Amino acid sequence: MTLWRRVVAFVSRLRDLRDRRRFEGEAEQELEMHVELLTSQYVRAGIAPGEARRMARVKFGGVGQIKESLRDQAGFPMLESIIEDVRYAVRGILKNPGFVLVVVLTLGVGIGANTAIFSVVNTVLLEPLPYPEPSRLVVLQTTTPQGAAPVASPTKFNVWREHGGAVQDVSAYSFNVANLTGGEPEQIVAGSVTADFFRLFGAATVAGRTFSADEDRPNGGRVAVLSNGFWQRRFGGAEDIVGSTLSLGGDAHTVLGVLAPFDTEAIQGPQGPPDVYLPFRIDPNSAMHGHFFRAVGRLERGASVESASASLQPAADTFRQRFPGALGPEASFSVRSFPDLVVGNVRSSLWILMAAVTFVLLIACANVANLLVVRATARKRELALRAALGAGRPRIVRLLLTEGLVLSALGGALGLAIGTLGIRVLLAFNPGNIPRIGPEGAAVGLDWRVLAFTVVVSLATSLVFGLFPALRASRTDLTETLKESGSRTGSGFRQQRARAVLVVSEVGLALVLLVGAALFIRTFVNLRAVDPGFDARQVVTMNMSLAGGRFDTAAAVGEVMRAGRERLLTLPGVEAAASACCIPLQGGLGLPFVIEGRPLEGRFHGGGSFTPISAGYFEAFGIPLVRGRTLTDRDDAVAPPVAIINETMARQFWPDGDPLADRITVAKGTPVLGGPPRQIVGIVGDVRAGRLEREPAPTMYVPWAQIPDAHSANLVGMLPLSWIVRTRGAAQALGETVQNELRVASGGIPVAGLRSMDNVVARSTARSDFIMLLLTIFAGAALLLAAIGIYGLTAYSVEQRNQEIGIRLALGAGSDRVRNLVVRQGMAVALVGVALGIASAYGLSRLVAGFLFEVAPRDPLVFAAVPLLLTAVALAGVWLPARRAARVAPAAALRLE
Amino acid sequence: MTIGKGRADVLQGTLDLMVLKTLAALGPQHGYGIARRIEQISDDVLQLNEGTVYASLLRLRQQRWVAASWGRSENNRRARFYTITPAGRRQLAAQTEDWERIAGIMARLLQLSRTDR
Repeated sequence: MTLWRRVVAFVSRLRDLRDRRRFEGEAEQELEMHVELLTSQYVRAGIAPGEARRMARVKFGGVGQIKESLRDQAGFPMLESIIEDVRYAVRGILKNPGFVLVVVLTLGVGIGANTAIFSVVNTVLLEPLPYPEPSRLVVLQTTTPQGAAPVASPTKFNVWREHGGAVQDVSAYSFNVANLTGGEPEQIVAGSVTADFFRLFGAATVAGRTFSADEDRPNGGRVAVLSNGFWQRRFGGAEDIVGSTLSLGGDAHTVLGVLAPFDTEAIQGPQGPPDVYLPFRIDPNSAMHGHFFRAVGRLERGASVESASASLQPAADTFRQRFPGALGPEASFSVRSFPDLVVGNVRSSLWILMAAVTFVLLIACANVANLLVVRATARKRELALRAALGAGRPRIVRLLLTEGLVLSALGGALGLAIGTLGIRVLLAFNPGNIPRIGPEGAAVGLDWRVLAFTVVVSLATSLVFGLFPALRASRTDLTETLKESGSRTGSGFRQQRARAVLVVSEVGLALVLLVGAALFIRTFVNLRAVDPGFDARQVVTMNMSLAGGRFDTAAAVGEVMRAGRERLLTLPGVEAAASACCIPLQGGLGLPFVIEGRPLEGRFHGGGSFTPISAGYFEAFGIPLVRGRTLTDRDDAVAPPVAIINETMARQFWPDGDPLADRITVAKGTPVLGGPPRQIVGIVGDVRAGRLEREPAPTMYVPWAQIPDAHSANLVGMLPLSWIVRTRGAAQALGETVQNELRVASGGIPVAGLRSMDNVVARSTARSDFIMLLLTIFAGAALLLAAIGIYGLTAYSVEQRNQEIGIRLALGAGSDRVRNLVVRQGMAVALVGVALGIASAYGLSRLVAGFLFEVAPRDPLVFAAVPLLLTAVALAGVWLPARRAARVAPAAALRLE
Repeated sequence: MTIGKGRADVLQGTLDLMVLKTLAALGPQHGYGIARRIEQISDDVLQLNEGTVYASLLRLRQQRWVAASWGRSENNRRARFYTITPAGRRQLAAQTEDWERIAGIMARLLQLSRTDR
């Protein structure tokens, strides 16, 4: 039958269904008339009226039967009987509110946890980025055997722009803080972007225009484009803003236009959404090799990440030609999907959580299935009666499945509520640096995908837990069941075995989850135990933008650093103060160096972190001096250049010699970055500046005042200056005073971003802490559910075997023996689960290896302790019913017969 | 489906075809009229539960192959009259063709098996 015919038939069925009463009336009339006409025909043929009527009925074939078949054909018999099933199921479960409560709560928690995690997965991984054709956006990067670095230098950017291959609209952006001057100074967020940036990310204007390619050249004039939010906040959305001037860092900028609201969450830096956009003005002839911004572009139609990466080969050739030695022979240029970069390694953490939460739901399903099996057993006689009265096996399976469906619908509704509330609580409590979720997870919410997910999960759930007991119950032997005098002897061995299988899988799943959680807990503890190399307690940090014309020499920056520190040290409560380009765990700079007088093979002897600092830096962070001296204010622009290195660098590059006898030259021979030879004057303790879990890198500390002016100007345009203050009392309390003093010392530059160093440290591990927290909650839930499952199985079997136990006791078995028998049988089930769980966890744990710190995925301690814990909990679950079994009064048990 | 001795049970699709053909040949009819006609044509070979005519009519009506309207019968009683629709005529033509083809095949097939024996 064609689809169209089906639709036509469906529509007329619907009409009949609506006019059901009329339909039946008409049919009845029609059939009656037919029988009457037949009867009168027989009468005319000379048959007695009574007999004629009988014959007519026979010939017609039973009016009632025909009417029934017409009715079935007319409406939707399936639908109607399903509605009936639902009604019956609701009535049935309302009779057992306790049972319903347990099932719905179990499912609600399981589905709710799934909904919560899925809503995060949905927002972070599934929702496309809010830019035109996000799948074609790519980041340009340099690939070396050590990995890919998605950062760009002016020299590379120029080559990429000229020889982009399959990458179009190559654009650059970088975000920094800047000072809004002319009036009360305020720190704002400024983005340096190239002219194509706006087209690439689909940022439209509501007024004026964005800048042109000409304005994006060096000396292209000072212009700015405002973000919509900044325009509203600062200028009240004034129409005449285009063409007016905006003073930034003392320089007047002409406002060219205002952007329409534009979601920058996937682009912006840690400073937050940009307030103004300035032309990046990369010099096409730049020889600057510092990597400090991001280059993005759009794939040509039909190009893939692989083909576009291959198309960058000419760019690499050009780059090598233009800057000999700047790109190693094994390095190449490539692209990476931009959405992929935004999400980063959160992808795998989210899938781990999703898997964990699915495990919890499966365990919940196993428990509910167990409950339903018990219930089906208790209802055996009712179901057998239904079967005897003509309900077929499919009908009974359907009835039981409908019950499951009703239960899981209730559980799903509860789960949706728990999930949406739960994720709010969790995200507000610990955002864990997850990209794309908005401030405090505001972007995470309900949408059709989350709803569809919950519905599908609920349906799948009802199938998983409902089908098993339904098939089991429908296979019941009719006569046997009906003959049984009571429900006492109902549980056969096979039934118990099926339930044991459920409990075994529950215990196994719980063990896998517990192992996962334990590995993350150990990681958490190990991370806490790491010595970061600095003392974060009572240290606050804040930042100050020096962008703008006033600070174009290193000496000028050095002077602000000196004056600010001097002023801070006069404050009571300030123990030490310093400033630097960067602070630990917040990113830093890296540069290569040459050791003077040592034979050289390549261009440099090595590379390491490069940190321009003021005097007092080591004291403020509590970094110990190992040898030599630290920096003082006398290490200024005119003093002989010096450097201080860390222990790792001393160990790596002077395994036998004395660093203090040597001089190093940072970025020797490189334009902009290259400095003078520096005497090493001190060695300090190692700091884990990159990430807590990463071994310290070789590090060079130099006085800011002594770095090349061009490098200093570049740093000032790229990063704010960080201030570090160690206090005696409560650190935060001094915050405002410190900010005021610095503002005075710097001649009115605003200070912002006050944060305690403790907070910086905590944030650096927030994501792994967040996973640990969630996994622990899930594992705890799994443990609890598994314990309930074991308890339920044992308790039920004790109840079923009441008589047997009574007989054993009556025949003289000691109550200890009876108890041990029950314990032995219960624990056998639990231990099989534990064994299977250990095997699965052993195989699965390496999936989380990338998240672990100083603990092996197959950590022996974890693999010993977790099974023990689970066994102990299982024992508790078995012990309670076993004790009850031992207390059975034989006489009472036997009387039940 | 069993085939009775000399009298045949009516296959569902076949009955639909017979009803359509009757309506096409005789014009608007009520159920009783259709049953009489089928009985008459088949010379009592067909053992028809006449009620099944109504099931067939409902099926055809749901497919819009026949239309129904209430009118007066010969003895002036309220009766439902069925008319074949244009879609019904097309269906009848298609089914007739199918039927003849299958009947031909069956006839040849049965002939063959008989000579084989």
